[in-house]
Amino acid sequence: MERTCWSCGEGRVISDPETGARVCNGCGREHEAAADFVQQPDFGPDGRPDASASSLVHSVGDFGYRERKLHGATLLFSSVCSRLGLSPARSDDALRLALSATSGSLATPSSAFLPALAAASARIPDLAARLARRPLPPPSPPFDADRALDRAVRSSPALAALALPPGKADAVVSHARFLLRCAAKWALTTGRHPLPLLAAVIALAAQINGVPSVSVDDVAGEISAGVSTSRARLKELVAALVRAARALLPWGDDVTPRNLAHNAPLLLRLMEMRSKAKPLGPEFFDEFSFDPSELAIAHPGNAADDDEAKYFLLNPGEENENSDVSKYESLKLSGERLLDAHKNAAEKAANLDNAGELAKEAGKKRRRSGGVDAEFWLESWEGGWDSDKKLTLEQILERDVGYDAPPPSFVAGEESRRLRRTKIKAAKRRINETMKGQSSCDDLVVEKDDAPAERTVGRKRRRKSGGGKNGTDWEDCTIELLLLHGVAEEEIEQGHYNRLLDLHVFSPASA
Amino acid sequence: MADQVLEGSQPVDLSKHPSGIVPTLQNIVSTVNLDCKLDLKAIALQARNAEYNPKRFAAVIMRIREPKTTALIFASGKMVCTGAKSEQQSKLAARKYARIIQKLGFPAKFKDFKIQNIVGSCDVKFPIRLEGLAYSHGAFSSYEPELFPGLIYRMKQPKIVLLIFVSGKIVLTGAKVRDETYTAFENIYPVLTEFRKIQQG
Repeated sequence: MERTCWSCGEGRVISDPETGARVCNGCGREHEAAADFVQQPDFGPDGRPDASASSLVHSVGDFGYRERKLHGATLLFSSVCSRLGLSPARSDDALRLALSATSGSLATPSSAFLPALAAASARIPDLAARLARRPLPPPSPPFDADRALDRAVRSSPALAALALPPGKADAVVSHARFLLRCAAKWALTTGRHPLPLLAAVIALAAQINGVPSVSVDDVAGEISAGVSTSRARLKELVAALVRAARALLPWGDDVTPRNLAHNAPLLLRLMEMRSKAKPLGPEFFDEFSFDPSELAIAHPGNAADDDEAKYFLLNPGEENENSDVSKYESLKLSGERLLDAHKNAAEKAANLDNAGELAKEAGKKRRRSGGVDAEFWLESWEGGWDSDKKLTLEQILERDVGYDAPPPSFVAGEESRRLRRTKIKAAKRRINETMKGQSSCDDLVVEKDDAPAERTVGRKRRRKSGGGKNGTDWEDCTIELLLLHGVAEEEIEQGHYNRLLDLHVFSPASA
Repeated sequence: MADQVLEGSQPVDLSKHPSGIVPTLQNIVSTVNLDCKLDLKAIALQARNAEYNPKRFAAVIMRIREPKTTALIFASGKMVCTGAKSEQQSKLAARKYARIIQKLGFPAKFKDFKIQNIVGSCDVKFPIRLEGLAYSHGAFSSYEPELFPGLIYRMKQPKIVLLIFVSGKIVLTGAKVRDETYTAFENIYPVLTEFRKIQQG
């Protein structure tokens, strides 16, 4: 006959098989005590209590249900451990482990859980020792951008829908891989999630290879990259390439993000050649000097409009003189003429002292034909650094593509510091004007180049001319206030205005 | 006076800061025991600068303007004060909060005031190659660009956590005294210069 415990209301009152007492199997409360009997402690030959003998008798009055349960469980635990072949010491360790795992309550001796607990506790120290002996599993492999790039291009539905010629997809992968390594070199990948950048390089590589219908949004959607982040990465990459073009191409000043796609094939080829060239001395740069006069020579009979032709023709009066090259570096080329100009520049690129096979072959061809076919250079794209599979980041950084860019966040920090420095100068000038008059502050004239006409914050443009007098805004007023409270200019340059106001202006100590 | 005012910069003590850069303290977190049980609802009803939403957070959030700080006041009488820019400001703010509680009729004391965390930041003004740093200081570094753009550097001595960003900006946290922040930065600065991203062009 079983009934519910009146104490806890949940457990069933059962008969304890060892003592015969009626106890709750939930809370352990004793409902009807069995007849008391006195335990006669037995002692072994060494004078210590004999556990095996004492297990035969219990004093119900001395121990509650919990103690008896623990005692029974301990005996069963030891029995299981001995059957598993554990020494007494290891058996004790296993018991301690089981006690700590069950918060000291072990399990009911009659339950099936106790032998399982005993077996597990007996094995865990062994497992722990084995694990300690075994070396840790290797860390998970890092993101393999090359493989992800290949997979993304080959499995791209947008590219597949266009049914590109056989070699086109390879060219896209190759250019994208080269761009990815350039991005790594220019720290565009540092601290960034790799997928959006992957989307950006694929979209740009597709554009370069004459597949403009593949947009960065499509690619980002296909590889599960953030669309707006991918756009931002594309913008950063394009900006870096434009800066590279300005540094490397003779007509670089005319390269803009809009016409980059036309200039990019030659730019990438040039960067690839630079990356494969041996370290060169100053003579390299002498040899690769660009003579814009050849631009004009190359197009004497071109049927260009007179307006456009004026960019290519030198001043007739100075045609035969040794003109100053710097005069022509600022020549403005129209977008349509750039491709023609590329060919001429590529001819000059033939003079590169390239150590690779490409340079040798190009040299042979030049000697044969007495000139260089620009198409040869552009078509001889070997896949960027494909020949050097699995370059480490260190190796990528060692390669010199002719241009190195600082990380965008660093550039942004520098720019904001520069702006603040300008504002500090202007604030000092205004303070001096007020204190000493106009004439005494001529030495603090703000240079026009430094003056922040307008500043882009996100998508919105914030104009300098705010609501205050003399076009000052809240930032100018804050800087003035901080200067008047004697705050160091280096601290103001950091731009932590709230902190400085708290410390120097609103702090009672400073008052 | 104007000259004095506009020449506010003080030279950096190079013996204490060999790098020439002094991290600026951005936030101080301190705790204090008011040593009395508090009726948070009564505090929220009486104080104008307090907000209390027991469903959202089991503490009164109180703010003062000087020093501009925020305090979390718990029913047990424990209080956490955040947002101060210096240790003195943090202690002053904690005293102000205790005084407010006293004025609301509770026998608040000011026991066991302790600075629990100091957050500092600085800018080394050069870009840092985080990948190289993470590789060579792998035991201390955690760099997971897919999770967080910065490198987390857990310095052992002093026990400070540094967040290092590619832009050259550094955040130091976990210090109990400001000297720990300074020491940690002086320890890491030579390492950062080693991994400076060198511009070729």
